[in-house]
Amino acid sequence: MNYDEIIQSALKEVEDSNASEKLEQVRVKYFGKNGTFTNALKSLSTLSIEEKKSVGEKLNGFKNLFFSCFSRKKNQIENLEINKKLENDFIDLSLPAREVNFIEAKVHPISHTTNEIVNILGDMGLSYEEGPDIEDDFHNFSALNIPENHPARQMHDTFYIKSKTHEKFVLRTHTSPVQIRSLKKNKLPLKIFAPGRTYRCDSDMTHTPMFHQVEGLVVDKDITFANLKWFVESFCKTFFEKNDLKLRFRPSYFPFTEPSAEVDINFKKESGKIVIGEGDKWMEILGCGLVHPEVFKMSGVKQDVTGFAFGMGIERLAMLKYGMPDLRDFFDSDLKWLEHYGFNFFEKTDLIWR
Amino acid sequence: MRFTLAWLKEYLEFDSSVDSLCQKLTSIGLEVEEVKNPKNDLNNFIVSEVVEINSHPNADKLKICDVNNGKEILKIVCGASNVKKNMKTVLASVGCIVKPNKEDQFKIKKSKIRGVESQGMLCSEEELNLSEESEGIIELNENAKVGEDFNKYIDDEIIEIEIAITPNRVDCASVFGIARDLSASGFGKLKQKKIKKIENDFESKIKINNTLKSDSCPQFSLRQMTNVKNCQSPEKIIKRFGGSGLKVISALVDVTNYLTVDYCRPLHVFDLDKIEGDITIRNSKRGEKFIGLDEKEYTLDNDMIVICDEKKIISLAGVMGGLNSSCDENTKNILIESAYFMPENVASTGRKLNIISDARYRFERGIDPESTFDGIELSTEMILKLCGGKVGSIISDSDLTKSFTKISVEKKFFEKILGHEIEENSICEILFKLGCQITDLQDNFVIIPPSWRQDLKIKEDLVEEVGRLLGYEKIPNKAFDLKKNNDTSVTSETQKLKRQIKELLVSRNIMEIISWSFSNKKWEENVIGDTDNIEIQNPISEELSCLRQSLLGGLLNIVNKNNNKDRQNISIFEIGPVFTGINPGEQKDRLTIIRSGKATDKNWTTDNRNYDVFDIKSDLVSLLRLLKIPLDKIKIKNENNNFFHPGKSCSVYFSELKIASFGEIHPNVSKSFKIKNTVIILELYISEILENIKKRIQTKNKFFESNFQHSVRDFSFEVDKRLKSIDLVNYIKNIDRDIISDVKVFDNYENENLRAIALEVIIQSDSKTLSENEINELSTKIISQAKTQFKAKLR
Repeated sequence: MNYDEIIQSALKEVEDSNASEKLEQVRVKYFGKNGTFTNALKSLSTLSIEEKKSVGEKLNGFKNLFFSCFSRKKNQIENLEINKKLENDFIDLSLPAREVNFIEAKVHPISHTTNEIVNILGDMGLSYEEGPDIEDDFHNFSALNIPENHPARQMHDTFYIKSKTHEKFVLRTHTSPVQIRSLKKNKLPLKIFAPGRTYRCDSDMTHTPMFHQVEGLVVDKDITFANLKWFVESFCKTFFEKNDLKLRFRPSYFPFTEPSAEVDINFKKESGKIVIGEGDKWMEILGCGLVHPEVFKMSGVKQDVTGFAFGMGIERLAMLKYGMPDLRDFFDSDLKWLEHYGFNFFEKTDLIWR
Repeated sequence: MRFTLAWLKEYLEFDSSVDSLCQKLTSIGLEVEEVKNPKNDLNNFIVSEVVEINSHPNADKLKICDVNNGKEILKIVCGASNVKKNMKTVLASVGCIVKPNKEDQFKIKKSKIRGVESQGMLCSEEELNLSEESEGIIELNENAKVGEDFNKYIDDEIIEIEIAITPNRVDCASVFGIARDLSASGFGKLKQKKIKKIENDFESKIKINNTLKSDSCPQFSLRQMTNVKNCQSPEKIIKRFGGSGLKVISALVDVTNYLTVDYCRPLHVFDLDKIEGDITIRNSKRGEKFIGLDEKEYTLDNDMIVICDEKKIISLAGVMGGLNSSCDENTKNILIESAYFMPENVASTGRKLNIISDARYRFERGIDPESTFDGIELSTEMILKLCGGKVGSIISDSDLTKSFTKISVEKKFFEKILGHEIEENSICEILFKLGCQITDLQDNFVIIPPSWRQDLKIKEDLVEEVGRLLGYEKIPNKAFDLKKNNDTSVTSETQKLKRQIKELLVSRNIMEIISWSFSNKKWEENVIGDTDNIEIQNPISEELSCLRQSLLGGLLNIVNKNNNKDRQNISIFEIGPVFTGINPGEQKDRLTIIRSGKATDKNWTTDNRNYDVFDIKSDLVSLLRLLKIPLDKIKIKNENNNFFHPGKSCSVYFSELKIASFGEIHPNVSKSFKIKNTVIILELYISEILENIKKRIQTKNKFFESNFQHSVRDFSFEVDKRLKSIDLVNYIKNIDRDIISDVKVFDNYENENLRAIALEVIIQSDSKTLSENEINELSTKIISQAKTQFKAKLR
């Protein structure tokens, strides 16, 4: 056989191939299971040792030559084919995304704001307590030094639960009953806060029959009014993220604290919007004071301790920080409103990540 | 409490501005709510004199005045009928703003009036916002100095201040009391109230029988006056009442109202000629009727204090006088009543009858029990002055034993509470100015608070007084260590999980809702059937008349409300309390998810399909993963509440505990909430789950993955229509737990005649590569057991 001629025509056939399939046919023809060269290599065993060596060397040389041409050609053809395919491959990327949602879901602003408060108060050393929404007269009023016929009861427009017995149950008018429950249940020192739903029989522009409060209580030896001032100021500055926020402590009255204070923070109005922490106007933000001795007595606390307590409205905090104009919208559950004022689930409320 | 600046100045001497007065009031706890000060808006109005008047050539009613403003003589055209030569009045020169901040405010310009130039305007009170209506221009006293700013001449009666009074501070429901408190804080000098003892003209013969002397009416005094002439109160009182929000009635009644606000001394005046015989003070009996001054009839309860003559009830003590004995323009003979009623009793009467009055407000907060005679004398003096008459002796039936509070307080206590050292002298000075009697023992003060401060009972109250009058701003902030000895974590497992659930669901694009804890009978009936509602005695509306026992009613209502705003595709959830009883603590946390309408927007990539139960089942699966409840331990039971679609809903159990139910809502329920779209819901019993599932462990099991090759075999079975696929799957899994690592349903086909289900079985051993034989053996087993146990035919 004239291997030289065969290899020449094999190489030519490689060169002449213009598609992957064609090229593959050439490879099979010469080097496939039954290919010309494959068979030639198989028949080497029938030759003498000298011949085997010389023919073998030649055939292997041809094989290397063939495959180097083959792979170059293969690459060339593949490149051509890819380019040709790309020429016709086009998609309109301005089409809408595979987006299936009308309205983006959000965390309710009350939840978000509560989470922020939990983070701040938790970081300051308080722990998260909860209390029931239905309360008895003792926890909601008497134990908080608000006896029957006390004028302070008029400030609470209380919802009463219909009952078949003489026992009086109410929807808690504030989160303060958690103070009593915690003092009864826990060891001293006590450092807690308690956010939750509260209820008052009132409904207008600035009142909803249900709203949220957060209560705080710190009881230990030698807690002072100066400590309370520091605590409240630290909280407000962190919450509003304003280090130069100004606070004003005004004497006030709550039956369950003595001395008592209401706290104002400074703000200004800029083109109709409230800017907290700037300007010289004052806005009330929370009520606080030192725990009244009667509250300790009613809760069975016998140790010589003092403590401070504070309470604030979560909706109000949210409105001031995030600018919702109307309290009633919080519970109206308009999906567009919630999408607008709600928060993404990954918007972190932690102090470190915000 | 509203009063005029002039009224306050009657008792307090001070030079400071209205602004600093208000700042001080707020800083001592008498929060200023509103200030009306027209002076602030009046700039450059000048006291001027009309030096010459000439008639206007083109108008009969107009005059041309030469007006001296202290610098020059200006020509002013004036139409007022009271303008006259040498009159001192107020000039608004060019540039002044008249009627400032009113709708019709205007700026004075040089202008021609009927052809004659006017260089300004002479003003009336109305034009300077000093009264609502006025006739003619202002006529000032002849001593007014020409050229001075008119502001100096404005009566302080025009400046109104309104403060909020906390329930403990009834002593400041009094102009005098406010002055006293201000002076105790170091602001201004208090002018004491002079109380004259008036000589009798005659002895009164009326007798008082006070049956409640040792009970709810310790003090009761009357003074008879004869031959008085009721009339209109003088201008000064009328002006002052206007600025203080009090109603002018007649001199006799105005006097009592005046002293109520002036001195916190509520009084009552009876027309003696309408009273028959002696006076008795007694408890009312249930069912007695009484017509008040407001002309309304009240039905009394037991134990309200009533003042009676021999025939009838003439007054409801401390709350309201009776119509049958009230003064009118013809009243000639009167009885003045001054008494002390116990606060609790007045409060309870007022509350039960729902009467709000200035007297009730003060009595129920505890007025000065020692002011009874002062009240009689002060009112007698005023009535004598306004209405004349003869004065009778004071008659009383009172328990005059004085009780007073004695508070012993360690000197160190002030610092212990406030956290700031205050000098002994300052403490004493403040308490003294408040009217306290102070005895200085070595380490203690013994304090007797004044009778008008019934709210000062314990030593903490005194600390507040000192802190308050010193100013809370003087107490420095002190940091302290809150984190020492903290052994509990901030949040509980439940609290953490609730937050994680919210974030998980929002990440699955479900909107968080917070809705009322309230519900109503109709909603509750629609979603949970006929149960005992937890009703509210005094609901805000019928819509919100009971407490919810399910979140569903409220959420369905929200779906409907949003549907009405043309939002058809809705995914919402709420985590919140549902109530199981009326006792505190009878409540559970519940999660409810609703998906309704289309699952996707009209979109070029996908079909516009409706939400179905398997969407909400995905939500359930992700929740179970979060709660670390293994999916293969879950049992699905076809039991359901009647608000569910009977064929498309189920309950989910984890061992014996029902943890959730989900499905499509019953068409009748959708209908009752007027919802047209399909509604799919999931209820997760959060409290029940968290109570029963122990604390989740932080460390994780060792990671393991078999190194041996796995094989997959698919089976298609023809099965019964009502077969629960999970039963077949679990059964097959258990045929050989060692080598069957998973079984999945990957197709479910149904037509009218048959149902076919396709399973993928993944076969893998942890210890060896399985031979073809072993796998085939298993396959045969699966096929034969599926047939015997489930009548499933291999297709």
